[in-house]
Amino acid sequence: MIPFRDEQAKIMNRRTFLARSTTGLGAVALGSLLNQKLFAATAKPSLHGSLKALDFAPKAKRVIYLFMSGAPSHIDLFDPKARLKELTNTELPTSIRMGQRITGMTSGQKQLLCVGSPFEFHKFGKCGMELSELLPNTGKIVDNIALIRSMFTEPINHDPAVTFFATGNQQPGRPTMGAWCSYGLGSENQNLPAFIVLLSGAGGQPLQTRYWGSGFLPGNHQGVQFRGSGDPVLYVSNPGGIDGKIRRQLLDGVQQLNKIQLGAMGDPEIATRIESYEMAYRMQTSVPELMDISKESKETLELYGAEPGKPSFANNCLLARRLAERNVRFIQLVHRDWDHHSNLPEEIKKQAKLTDQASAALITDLKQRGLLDDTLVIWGGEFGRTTYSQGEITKTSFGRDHHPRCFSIWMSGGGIKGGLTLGKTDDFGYNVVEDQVHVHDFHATMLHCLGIEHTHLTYRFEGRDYRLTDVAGKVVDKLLA
Amino acid sequence: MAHRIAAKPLKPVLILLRKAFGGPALLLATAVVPLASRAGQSDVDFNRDIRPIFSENCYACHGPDQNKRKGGLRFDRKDEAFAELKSGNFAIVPKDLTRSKLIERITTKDEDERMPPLKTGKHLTAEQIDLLRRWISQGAQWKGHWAYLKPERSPLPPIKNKRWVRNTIDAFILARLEKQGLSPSREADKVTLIRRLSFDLTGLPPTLTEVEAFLADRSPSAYEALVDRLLASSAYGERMAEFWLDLARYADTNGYHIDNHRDMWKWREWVINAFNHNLPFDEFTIEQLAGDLLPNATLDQKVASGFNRNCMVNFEGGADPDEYSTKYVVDRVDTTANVWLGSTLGCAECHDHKYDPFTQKEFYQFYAFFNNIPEKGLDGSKVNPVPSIKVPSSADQARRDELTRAIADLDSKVTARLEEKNPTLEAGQAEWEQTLTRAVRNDWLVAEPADLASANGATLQKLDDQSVLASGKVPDTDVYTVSLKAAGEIAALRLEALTHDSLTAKSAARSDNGNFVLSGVEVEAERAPTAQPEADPEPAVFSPWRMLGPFVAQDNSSSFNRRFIEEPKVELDKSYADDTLRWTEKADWKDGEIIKLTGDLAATYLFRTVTVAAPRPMTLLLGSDDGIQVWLNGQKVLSSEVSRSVAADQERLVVQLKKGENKLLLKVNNTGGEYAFYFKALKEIPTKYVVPFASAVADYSQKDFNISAALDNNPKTGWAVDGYIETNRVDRQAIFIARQPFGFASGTILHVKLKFESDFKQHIIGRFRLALSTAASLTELGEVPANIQAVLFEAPEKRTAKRKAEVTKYYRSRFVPEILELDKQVAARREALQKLDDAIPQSMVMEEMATPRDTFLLIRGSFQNKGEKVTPDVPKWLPPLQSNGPTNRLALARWLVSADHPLTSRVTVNRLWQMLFGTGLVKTSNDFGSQGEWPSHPELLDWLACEFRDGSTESRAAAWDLKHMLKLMVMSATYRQSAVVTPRLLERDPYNRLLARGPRFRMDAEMVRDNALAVSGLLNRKIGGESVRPYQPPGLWEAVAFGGEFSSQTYVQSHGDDLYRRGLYVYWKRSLPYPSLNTFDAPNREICTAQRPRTTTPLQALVLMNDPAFLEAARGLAQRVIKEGGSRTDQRLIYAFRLTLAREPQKDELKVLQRIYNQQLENFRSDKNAAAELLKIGESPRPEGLDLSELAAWTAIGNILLNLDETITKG
Repeated sequence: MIPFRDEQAKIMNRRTFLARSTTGLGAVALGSLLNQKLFAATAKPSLHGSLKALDFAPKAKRVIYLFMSGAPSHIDLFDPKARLKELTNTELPTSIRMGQRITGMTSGQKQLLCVGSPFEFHKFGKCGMELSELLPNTGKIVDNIALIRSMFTEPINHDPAVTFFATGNQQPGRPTMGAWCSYGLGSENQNLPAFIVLLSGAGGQPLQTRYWGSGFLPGNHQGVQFRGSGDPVLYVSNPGGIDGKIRRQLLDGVQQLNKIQLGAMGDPEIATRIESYEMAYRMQTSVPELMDISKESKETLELYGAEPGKPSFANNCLLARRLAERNVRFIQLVHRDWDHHSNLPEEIKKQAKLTDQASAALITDLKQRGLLDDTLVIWGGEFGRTTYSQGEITKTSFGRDHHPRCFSIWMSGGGIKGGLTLGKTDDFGYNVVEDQVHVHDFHATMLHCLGIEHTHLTYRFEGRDYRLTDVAGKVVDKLLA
Repeated sequence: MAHRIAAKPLKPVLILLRKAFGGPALLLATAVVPLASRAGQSDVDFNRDIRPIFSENCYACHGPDQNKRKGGLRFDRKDEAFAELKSGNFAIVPKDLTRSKLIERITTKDEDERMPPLKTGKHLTAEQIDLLRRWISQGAQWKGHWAYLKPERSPLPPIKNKRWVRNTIDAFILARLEKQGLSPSREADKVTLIRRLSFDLTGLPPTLTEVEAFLADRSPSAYEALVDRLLASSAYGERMAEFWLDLARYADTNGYHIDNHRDMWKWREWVINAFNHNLPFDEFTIEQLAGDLLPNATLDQKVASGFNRNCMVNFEGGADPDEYSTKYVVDRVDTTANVWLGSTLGCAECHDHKYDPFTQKEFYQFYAFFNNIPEKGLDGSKVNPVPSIKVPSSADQARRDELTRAIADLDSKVTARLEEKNPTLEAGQAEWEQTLTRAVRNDWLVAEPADLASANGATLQKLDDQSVLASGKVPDTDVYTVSLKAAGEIAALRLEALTHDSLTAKSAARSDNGNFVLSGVEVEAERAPTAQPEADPEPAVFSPWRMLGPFVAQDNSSSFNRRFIEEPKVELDKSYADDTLRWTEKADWKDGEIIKLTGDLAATYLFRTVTVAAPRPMTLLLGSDDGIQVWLNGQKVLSSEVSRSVAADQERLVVQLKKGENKLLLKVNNTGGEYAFYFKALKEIPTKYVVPFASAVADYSQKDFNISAALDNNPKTGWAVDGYIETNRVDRQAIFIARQPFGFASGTILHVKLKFESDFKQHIIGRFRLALSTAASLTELGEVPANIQAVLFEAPEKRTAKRKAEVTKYYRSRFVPEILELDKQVAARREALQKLDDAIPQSMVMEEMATPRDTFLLIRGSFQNKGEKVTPDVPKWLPPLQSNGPTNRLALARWLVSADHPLTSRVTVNRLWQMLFGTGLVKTSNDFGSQGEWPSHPELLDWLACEFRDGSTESRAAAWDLKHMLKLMVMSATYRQSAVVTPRLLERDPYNRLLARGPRFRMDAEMVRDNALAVSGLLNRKIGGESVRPYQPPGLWEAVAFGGEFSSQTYVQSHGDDLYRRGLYVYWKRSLPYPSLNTFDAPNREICTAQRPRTTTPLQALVLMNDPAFLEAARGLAQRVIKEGGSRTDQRLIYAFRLTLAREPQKDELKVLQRIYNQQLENFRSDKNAAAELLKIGESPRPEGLDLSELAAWTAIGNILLNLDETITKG
């Protein structure tokens, strides 16, 4: 059954040779298939991903993306519109709407009545950034963040808009930001995936695993969900009756048999399989250890508002820091329930309370640990919300519909200028009037911070070189430190 | 994504460590396998060597996209590439390098001049420049793109090692190997071959018996017999379906936003059966693309047409339906082009294709074929998006037929009774109709309106014809009040909505569009003031109460609703409930006192007569525990379904008594506990009361705005008349029929309120007139069902036969009880049929709209931006569409499988090759265009394509025979080679493109699962059926789902046999695919997937080690081993090993297992709890009487075996 047993020694010799020669045949062959320009570029190599060199010196090594699913209202959180309060209950002027598309949820409404934010805005920090009273903690870190008030996007409904933010395209099928980063930059941690996802928030808009999927990139680049309850990673725990010791014994058996097979067949795929089992074994210890926040100091837990054993956005923020410490490339938190079509004042208060403290704590904590310099943190949703009310405006309540034409997000850390407020919207918070930033521009900027010229991170699929920024995207220089 | 990603052979182990996650996905070394000719070789081949250079570097500006073309020059067409340029120069002059400007432009040192321009990031290598030079020097021979030329069989190439060749495939493979100086590997041993074949052709491992039988069969035909057996097994169809389902993007949910359930598994069943019956691929194609359009399409063919309904369907709130109906059609184009043309036609959705000769217009011409489906843009909320058909099993169909027949029989009996000659009934009906019709038409007295008022400020003015015209302010809503004087007994009120020149577009309404919505009508009757006070009426005479009951009911609702007697008919002589209940007189009951009844969950009828000397209204005060219903003279005047304790005066009701005897029937029901009622009639005649209406009829009602809606007191609903349509701006009338004729002997004033309070602004009648009728026949009309009322209102001469029959049926059924009896029987069968139908699975299908939808080119692909109108057609660079019939999907499907088509056969055989060998002869199996890769064995590909398309006389195979093609491939010596990788082969041909060794690669996700279930003895071999839900960690769906009332939002695990079905049948939820399959690279099926990536990740190890499905399989394997594997440990180890891998273990392998078995036995002996814990996993029963420690140790061995690389590898 093992006809080539006598060849085994030769194979092993060859493998030993390859192990020593990182500049050997493998590297040559790799180079010939890579984007020629990247290969020729002079920035320092030493990456583990598909990119053989970076275009710029990277400011950020990793990304923590706090994705606010459902789309928080920019008008009530980030973009003060004093005049809008006076205009409450008046029709949105056609000169402002300019015939732009609105959703089927308000297109049948007889009137589009403006509604100002019921919340006060205050100046925060040295930079004097104005934020809503709902974000007192974010107010404390404004000097470390750049607030973009002039974001805009194309889709007007959740699924296409989240897909667009995640992949640069409205229709499903393409790789997500994290997958691109994993593919391009690889992993710097031998025990953890390069792209990790944490979910929080009950109810709200549904999520799709494709929001962190790999699209047409190989599946090993897809985001791996780490969970706050049950197995933190699917099947990472040994079953009942099999403890760590037995698992190691069984694994040793698997590995010994696999090695015999490698010798017999000479197929290097088997070597990869063997290594994947070792990594799985390491994950069995490293993941539970990573997810256990109970040993964090009391101060730290209080800073975030995290409670061990009670899954929450706060816990996830703390976990994000722990993942950043472990050099995970792309950490994406998804927090649901920002879709406030009705009863906005109450609902947004709830969500702000659930997220403000921990988001700010993450920045503070990263900073005090010296991690903020090379970690890019992003906070925001898939679009903004309308200046007009969906449904009736009462003293205490109103709703806001989807609004892609302008909204706010903030960025912080590696490569980003702190204390900056970029862009302006009109008095209604309806259109961008200055420094507009398209989603593709945002992606280009994010990649820039990671040292990547966005047009260079490509993948050939069905005859075309695809990229995260599709066929557009400009780096927003004003945001860069 | 063609390449195999994670495990790259030439990478040292230390680097591999990092790759399992996020590592580089890189192609190694096509440099090692020169698929293209390189410098130094003599003949340059245009398609192989030159076109790829043009495509990659030049087409973006000098290619098919006319909007991006620079300098009028294009390199995708010979005539234009060789044409004289504006400058008078030529880009290419055959055999003349100096005059060929192309060479100058690609070699100049001037960066501004050099092509391709620096800013494109493209760059020609010295080697490519050399190829271009040599091509021109050799005469610049030009060929059409290879894949668009019709394939021809080339002569067999010359080869040396003729003995090795088993069939034509081998000749082509060997020729290339010999050219490269390589020789084939030896044939794999028989155990390897049966395992390889079993997985490839059935997706399942061979059983030990099968292995032994094959080893024992030493005849020369043993191998072929095995192949034939596997191809004939029903598992073959399942294995092939797995391959097809990715292409067809089959899933059990609608995808997109909320991602709820759809029924498509009947289509999946069709696919399995089609493969098992070896349906020729041309028919397979035609039925899936256009089965619905085949003449006399069978149910199966319609189901097959669901192929292109497998696309996702959205229904996100607020989304635009047009946006998504466009997406569905685009998906059909992408999928169809990918599956049959191996082409990226989808790239031309927004602009002309950059590399291939598709124009954007051609994209939309192709799109037009699929744009005639009567589907909806946002239709994903229910099962199923339309069009969808029921797909009954044959048993269901038989029952269905039986019921349908029975219904038809009964119906014809009814018809017979209706058509029966019966002069008495005919004459009676004629008179009855005439009376009613006359009343409706003629018996009206126009009343003079007084006290006109508008609630919201309109001006009301009486006109000469007694109509009322509104003018002045047009409020959003309004209520008109009008007073009328009347004498005698009033049966009905007529409202005419009249047009007027002063109103919008001469309509009857005040709104901008000419329509109105009458949301309510309320009439109060008041005694007209007279000079003298009216004399006290003669007192009414009440008979004593009679009681019938209690009737025992099943539940609260039936106590109220069930008709225990023929309500409202009272037959005082009749006995009920098996003669246990009769009407009994209750002479001692006193009005104005609470009277107790008996019974718990029950209903009781109470009856008395009321006699008056003159017609008069009477006020009744009622109380009840619990519900109460009241009929006066057979008319229901009160219905109150409540649960309460009795009290006086809980209901106050004014009834209109006729002169003489009136019949009053009460039904009081009890929902438990106390049971009582209360009754009192006031002596005084009420002076003012609200008139109850029985029904309303109109000469015209808008859909969903029927006249009856004006009576329901709900401002959201009302009567409208489509007045926004010009031809509908005519006079209309509505009749409101009182429950009882009403009115005061001394005269009545009617206070009429006409309400216009709907959400439709200003939808108010602008001119109206009121009239009254005293015709008693109108009261009768009020009792007639609405559909009959409407008939009588229509002109008899315009009445259809169906309507006539309805009227006859209504009339005759009062005199011919059999009609009612038959109707009851029909209703029961209809209900049974409905129940049956509800349980029959659905399947989405294609269907053509009667009037084809217009198709337009969508500028930049935007659904809001329509360009020129286009009609269905195929791209010009392919053979023309030939159709005698209409240019529709059927013509398209036939075109795809026509003999002249260059792509379908090539693309399909290449996919089969990819399935068996891991990589296609064309590696980019979804792109046969300019950007696709040159075939590793072009002549072989074409030969296979011809064999598939034409069939073969030599092997007596028909055209389009899939089993023949697979057999051909697996019979080859090429396929039968050992997969052992030698260092020399690894270096020369790391990806095995030259095929100097056999295929070896990790199995597809489904196969990994099926193998574990099969070797453990758990596998359920049922074919087809609904999808199943195996073990899955809790909370996964819920964490991402929208929830609410939508389907497939929470995971409900299957039990029993359903847990052990093949991966093919696992429920495929697009937003969260089954994790254990997904981890092994199964796609989410949102879009067509032509090639799955094949990764190796630690998450896969975690699944195999810890997923309960695999642990249960390990236990199953252990149980088998103990039961069947002999008594000695070594025997059992060998047995377990052979069950899993078919082969015998080597000594060193056995030693490892032996050692671990002993170790585990010791572990589990010292920790019996651990053994029990491990063995608890999985719902399959555990045989009694086994030693738990021993079983646990064997389960551990099973876990090891199921985790081996070899176990999940087809080699």
